[in-house]
Amino acid sequence: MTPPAGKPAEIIEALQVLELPAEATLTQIRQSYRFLKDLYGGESIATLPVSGEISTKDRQQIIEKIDAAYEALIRFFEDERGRDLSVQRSAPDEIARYLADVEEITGAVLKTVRKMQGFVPEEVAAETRIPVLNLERIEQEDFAAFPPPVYTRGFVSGYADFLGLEADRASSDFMRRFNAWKENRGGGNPPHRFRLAFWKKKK
Amino acid sequence: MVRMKVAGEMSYEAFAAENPASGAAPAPKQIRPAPDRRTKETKIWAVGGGKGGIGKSFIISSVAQCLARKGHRIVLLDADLGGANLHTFFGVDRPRTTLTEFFERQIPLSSLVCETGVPNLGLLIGALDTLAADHIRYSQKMKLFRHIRTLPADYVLIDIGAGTHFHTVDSFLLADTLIAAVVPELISVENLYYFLKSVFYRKLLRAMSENGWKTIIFETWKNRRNLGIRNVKELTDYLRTQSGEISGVIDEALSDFLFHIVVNKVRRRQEIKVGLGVKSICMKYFGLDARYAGYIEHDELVSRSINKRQPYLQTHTGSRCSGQIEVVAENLLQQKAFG
Ligand SMILES: Nc1ncnc2c1ncn2[C@@H]1O[C@H](COP(=O)(O)OP(=O)(O)OP(=O)(O)O)[C@@H](O)[C@H]1O
Ligand SMILES: [Mg+2]
Repeated sequence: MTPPAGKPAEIIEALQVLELPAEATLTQIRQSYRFLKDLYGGESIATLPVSGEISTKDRQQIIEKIDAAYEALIRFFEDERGRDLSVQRSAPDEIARYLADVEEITGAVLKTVRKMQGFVPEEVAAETRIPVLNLERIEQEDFAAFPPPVYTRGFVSGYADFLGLEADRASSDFMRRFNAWKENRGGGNPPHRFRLAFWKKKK
Repeated sequence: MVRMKVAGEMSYEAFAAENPASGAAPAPKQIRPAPDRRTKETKIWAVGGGKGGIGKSFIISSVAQCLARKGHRIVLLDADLGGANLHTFFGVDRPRTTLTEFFERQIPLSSLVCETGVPNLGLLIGALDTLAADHIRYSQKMKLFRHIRTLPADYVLIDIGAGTHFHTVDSFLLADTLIAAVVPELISVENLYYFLKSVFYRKLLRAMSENGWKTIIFETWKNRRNLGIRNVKELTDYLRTQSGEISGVIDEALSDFLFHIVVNKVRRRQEIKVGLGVKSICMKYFGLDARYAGYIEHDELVSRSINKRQPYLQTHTGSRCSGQIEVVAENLLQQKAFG
């Protein structure tokens, strides 16, 4: 395969280790890295049937290759974008430990997980098509500014899915908090401020 | 053979005949050979995987309908010799004519193709009534495979049935596009790996035999314990070290070897990822190229339609499951990965 213009051969190779095409985005790289680390770092129905065929050492080697490929790719993207992308990157097991203590998926939890995975809201927006403004409203639980509930539910579940969290649980946790807030302020109607803006935009 | 001329286009041969002056000059760039439907090779797709009702027949019959709807001419070949049931997915009676006629009475394959009720989609039943599958000689099988390629169709889709018998594996290897089905359950994944390894081993065995190295692969596999070979990847790695020629043959055999994985009966969101995991294991543990073509969720209405003898895709056009099947069909057409 000939590397497409602009990407050196070792970057193409690193992408192949992460099982990605040459045109993969940073977001895809991160998702694939997290996925492969989980796959080879643990046991699942995909790995269990072959556990007898592969030694621990071979497995370790695969993990090291994945890590090395990921490091190389992050460095490549950093050079390209001229900013440090790795500061807030946490290992998958660190994220798992954090999540183990989480009882309810709130806006703050989504924000923490996003930061642990090293994403900026713009990257999430590019991938999920959820506008940055709404991502920020969700993270801050700025309920008064929310779009109608059906949209909010979809946004929260799309966002959670992107982060690799259980989307159904995230949206039901979140909507419960949203509804509680609505009851407290004594009105069942969607926030007036947003409604106006929403209908105006549509027209 | 006489080439068909398509309106507005002229083949190079025709061009040269009508313009003797052009002599041996290279064909002018703007004149392409006329696409002749009869010489265009029929592509073969096959679905295989583990046993136990994972939906191989449902997938291939549904994908066939998707392709037929797009205007491709499709022949669906039911090569599940012991349990041919593809007709049921279309709600038609089991056709009387089967491959038996081809083997015993030399009837041409194309006249054995039956209607399914879906335009562009014909069905060929492989069930061998009197002939036990084991008794088909190798030469007969090769003849069948040759004739399949000449069927008047754009695609022949084969349901090879379950299991890892060499007849089954050979029909699978006949295909240009290899589809491996699995459901998100441990047993099914285990069966899939077993199937893929058998396919791979048979492919390797064939390539080696063609070069007179059959004994090398047999001996190596027999001695695998002493040689420290635990899997097919280590087998090929070892064979590659034996000689540059062997290494070249293995590279050649593997160069166009690609599995398209389809995960069926998905019930939970997390199960979608099983396809990615299986793909990764294929590539990193078995050294086989694989792609995840997509998933199809579990839908109660599938078996209900079959019981009512209604093709699911026709009665549930807008369902999520139908949409996912279309994505799978499209990805297979484009040889693309899902997502
Ligand atoms: N996505 C699905 N959702 C719900 N039911 C399904 C789905 N796919 C297949 N089924 C059901 O599972 C059963 C087995 O499907 P199918 O006959 O296609 O499996 P198979 O792999 O061909 O089995 P065999 O190995 O016996 O040939 C059928 O009753 C079918 O209705
Ligand atoms: Mg079947």
